[in-house]
Amino acid sequence: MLILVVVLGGLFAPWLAPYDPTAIAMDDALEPPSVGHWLGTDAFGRDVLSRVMYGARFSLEVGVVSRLLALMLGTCLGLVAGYYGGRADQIVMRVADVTLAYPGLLLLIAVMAAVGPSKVALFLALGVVGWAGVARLVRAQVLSLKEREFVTAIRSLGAPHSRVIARHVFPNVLTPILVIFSMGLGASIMAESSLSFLGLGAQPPRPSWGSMISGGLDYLRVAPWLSLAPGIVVTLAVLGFNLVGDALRDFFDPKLGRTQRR
Amino acid sequence: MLAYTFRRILWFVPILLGVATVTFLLLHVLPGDPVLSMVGERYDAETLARLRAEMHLDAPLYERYARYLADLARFDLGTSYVTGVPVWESIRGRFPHTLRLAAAAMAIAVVFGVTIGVLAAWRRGSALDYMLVGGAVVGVSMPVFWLGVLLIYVFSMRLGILPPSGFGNGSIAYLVLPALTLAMASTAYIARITRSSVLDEIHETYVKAARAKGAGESRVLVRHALRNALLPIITVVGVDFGSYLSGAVLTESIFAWPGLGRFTLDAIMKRDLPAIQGAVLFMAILFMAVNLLVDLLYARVDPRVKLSRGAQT
Amino acid sequence: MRLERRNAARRASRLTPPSYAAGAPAATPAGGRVAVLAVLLLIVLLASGCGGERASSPMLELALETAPNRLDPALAVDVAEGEICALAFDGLVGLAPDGALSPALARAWDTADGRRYVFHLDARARFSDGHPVRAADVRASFERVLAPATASPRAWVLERIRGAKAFRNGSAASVAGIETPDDSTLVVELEEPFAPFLSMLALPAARVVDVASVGAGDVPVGSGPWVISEWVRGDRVVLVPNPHHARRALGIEGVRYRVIPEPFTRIAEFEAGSIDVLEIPDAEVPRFLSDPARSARLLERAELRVFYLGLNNARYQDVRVRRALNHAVNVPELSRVLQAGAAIPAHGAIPPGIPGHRERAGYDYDPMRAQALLREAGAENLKLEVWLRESAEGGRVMEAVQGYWRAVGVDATLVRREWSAFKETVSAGKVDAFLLDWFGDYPDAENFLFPLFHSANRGGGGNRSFFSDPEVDRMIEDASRMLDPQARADACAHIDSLVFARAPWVYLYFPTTFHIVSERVTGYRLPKLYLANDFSGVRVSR
Repeated sequence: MLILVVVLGGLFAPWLAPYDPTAIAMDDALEPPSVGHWLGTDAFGRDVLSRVMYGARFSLEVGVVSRLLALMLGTCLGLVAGYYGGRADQIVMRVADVTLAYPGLLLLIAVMAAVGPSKVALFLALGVVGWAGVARLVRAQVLSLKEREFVTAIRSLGAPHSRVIARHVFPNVLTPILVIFSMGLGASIMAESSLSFLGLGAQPPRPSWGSMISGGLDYLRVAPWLSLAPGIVVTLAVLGFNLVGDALRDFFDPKLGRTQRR
Repeated sequence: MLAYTFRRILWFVPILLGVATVTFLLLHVLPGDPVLSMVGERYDAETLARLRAEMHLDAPLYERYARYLADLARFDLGTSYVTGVPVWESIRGRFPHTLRLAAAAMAIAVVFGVTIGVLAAWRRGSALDYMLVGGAVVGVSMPVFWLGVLLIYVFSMRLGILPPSGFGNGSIAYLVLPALTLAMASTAYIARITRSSVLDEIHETYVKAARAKGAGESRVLVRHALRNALLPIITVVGVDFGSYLSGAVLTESIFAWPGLGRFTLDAIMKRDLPAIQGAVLFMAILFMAVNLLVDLLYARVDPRVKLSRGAQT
Repeated sequence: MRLERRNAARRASRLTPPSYAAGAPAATPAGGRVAVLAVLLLIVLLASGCGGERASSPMLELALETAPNRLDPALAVDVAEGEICALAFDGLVGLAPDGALSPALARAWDTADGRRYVFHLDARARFSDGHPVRAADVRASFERVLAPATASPRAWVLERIRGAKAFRNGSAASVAGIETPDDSTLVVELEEPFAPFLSMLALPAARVVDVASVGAGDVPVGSGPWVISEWVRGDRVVLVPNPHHARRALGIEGVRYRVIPEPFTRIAEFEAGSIDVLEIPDAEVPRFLSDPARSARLLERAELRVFYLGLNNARYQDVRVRRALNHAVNVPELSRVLQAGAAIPAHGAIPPGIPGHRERAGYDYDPMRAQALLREAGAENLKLEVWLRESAEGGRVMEAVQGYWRAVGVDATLVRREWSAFKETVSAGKVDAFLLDWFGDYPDAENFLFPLFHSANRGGGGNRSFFSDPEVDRMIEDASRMLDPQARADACAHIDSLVFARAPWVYLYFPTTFHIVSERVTGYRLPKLYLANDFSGVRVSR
């Protein structure tokens, strides 16, 4: 439900948003929430609600694309590593180790600085940082699948590796992937807002939740709605994705969720 | 066990080499000249060239890489361009602060997480349960820096009961807010794990048996049920503690805490190559060491975990 | 540090194959061990932290935004470093809080031609370890800054001394233009007359250290009114009075600078009473101004700083385009919204308070005229990329400017980069436009003309808009040779107006900052610039 509101709000921002999120109206600066501006206005008189809605687009876009990237990379490599084992496994897992042992923020900042803090840079940076965890998970799943009777049976019938992977192994790792996607989405959104706090996220005047919160902190005592509104929305969105992840897991695989059942 | 530990530690070397190489190349392709951050706003080409030569920055890439590896082999992390202090000395100076904050945060996370989890499970389905679980879920979902600022606002500015930042004279009061901020996500997570594990265990026959033998309910909860929650808790502690140790940049910035994270961020912003390289390596070592410890702990706690496979974890 | 990975790894850990989560009780009796361990940890922490609250010793508590990295005047580059070095190291001359030149190590000086300066050292001047400061010490300090081995980034401060270049490239063993006829007399001869030289001598790079003490520790021995007694890198610097200094502070035991990067945290520290002087962030200024209980303790300072939007003059050669971009921005409104109306719109580069500043009119907010100019120049639908730093202030200014420009059909894309990347690219002339500020290191109009508009300084020297005009170059050089202060001020004002008419920048404003002093402090004087602190009259009540 939460997610629905956030996603729809973001998707249809151009039609739903009451105001242009970048239209400056200095005379309306720093108005508290009212009927005209449900969430008040910022220092330039821009409507906070509209900005939060457009911010959702940016944050969701960054979250989804970077997650997809991490998943694609992680799944492919994890499948290869887990299925073939041996040298391929060694190499992939060592690279994963390096990635995991690497302080993620440095990587993020580095890519940000190299490519410039653009959307593409955010996608890449968050994707590169996120793949190793996925790869590990997928590999572990594949390892346990590989020993199961149905896979060994198909193999003994002489099916080529590629088909075994595509037809039998991959569908079986899909569930945990879905779960990790939903939860990782929340994590990506959080990471984007943290980067914005350090001044490395979205470019002004484009609103993103992170840049709205950090920009609003300066006004915390003067106009608290500036940072509270996007802050609460981020919390709700991340919360929503986590809950969806929980639900997905419980639904698809009660055994997996065993230690997590609420 | 010993052989396993040894093998794992051997693996550190190639991984560290990988980390070092990635850092080196990354810093090379980054725009931003380290020399520029040494000269302030007004400088001339001659000064730049002189400084560059001084720091061997004008040498070809492979030569600098070789020089860097040779220094590393001698356990020499080099001297910071910006401060002129040996990098290792700076790290040694900053790390105790980071360790202190990380330990406090972890302690809070475990103590509160487990307590909340057990309480929620014990009063499952009650208003208390919903409140605790709800709080935990919200806790995981809040951006750290936002939480930090709100805590300062409430506890320092509104209530005036805790100092806002710094480590002051080392008194515990200065530690509370940053540690709470840092601990929030882990606390919430541990609470959820504990709660569900305890709930599962309550239905297990052996618990029923224990109860039949006349043990009090709280005793049953703590003694038996918690045991199963241990492994996932150790996982969280491992992963989170590892990352706390490499410095919580956001928390350290907000609370003016002079730890490793802040040090690294400053170094990145100033393109202080030796400092960045040193800090990254140090963090990687810490992270791997904590992971190794966690795996060893696994094996101790649960003999069913086979270490040979865990080598990949 | 690990923003996202942490979470990813954690998710992964929850989903690891359920080999160990299969249900049977764990075999080891480790039940509550983790919890016990954690409690122990907490106790240890509590025990380790058992000290009282921060002692309320009469120290002046100040905040720094960035951590100083070098507290050696030859190597100091940024404001934090300069501010502290100016307290701990005296030079021949110093700056009074109002920005005027004041005697320091030299009690008097004279020059007949602006080329040869004779300094009479104060016989009472002492280093913090008690030994007297002699002319030879000054000479040694100067030569140290110039010596290539020191790698001082600020050698330009002293490079105008005769023979300095020869000394730097190794063809002379000493600097020919520095003579020490006796212990208390120093003669400095320049290559040619240079009027701002005295002001430049107040810069950190020209401050005197005991050269023999260099390298013995982090901080050389100095002769300033304060001594650096404690330096915890990244956290704080504590200064105590130099017992041998003539102007030693009597009212306070010391000055403690704490590094607090986040503005919000600085406010919280001030409200908690652990910071005595707070520069109020722009957003909070109206709130403090309207609070009668506090407005009495507010101090206002017109900054020696100009905020501008540099245009790449090599790319925008048509002056009409540059003027149009000026006309399109409503600077008074910007000032009102962002600076509570306290910022002074800039109609030139020389800030008020510096001889050579003039009130002048020009580039009124006039979108129609801007559009007309753009049309005339054939530059309708102008698109440009504006680079800015990652500061919140810059972001706000540029968002507003972007809005004004859009209203006249100019489409600006903002590119925000952190300082290193920003400086490298902008100084190389690779951008269309950039938002930057320039603040005076020494209170002289030359500081706002020569670096910013002389063609010799294009790029890293400060002239990042690549303005280039041989006539202006010549006039700037002529002005620095003028000895009569009034004539020089007039000349500088004239140059400023000429450059202004050519619109190499979009001129924004001279910011004004507001500071508030805590109730327990009296006698604090807000210095005109960061090198001019003087705490000798400050009293702190317990």
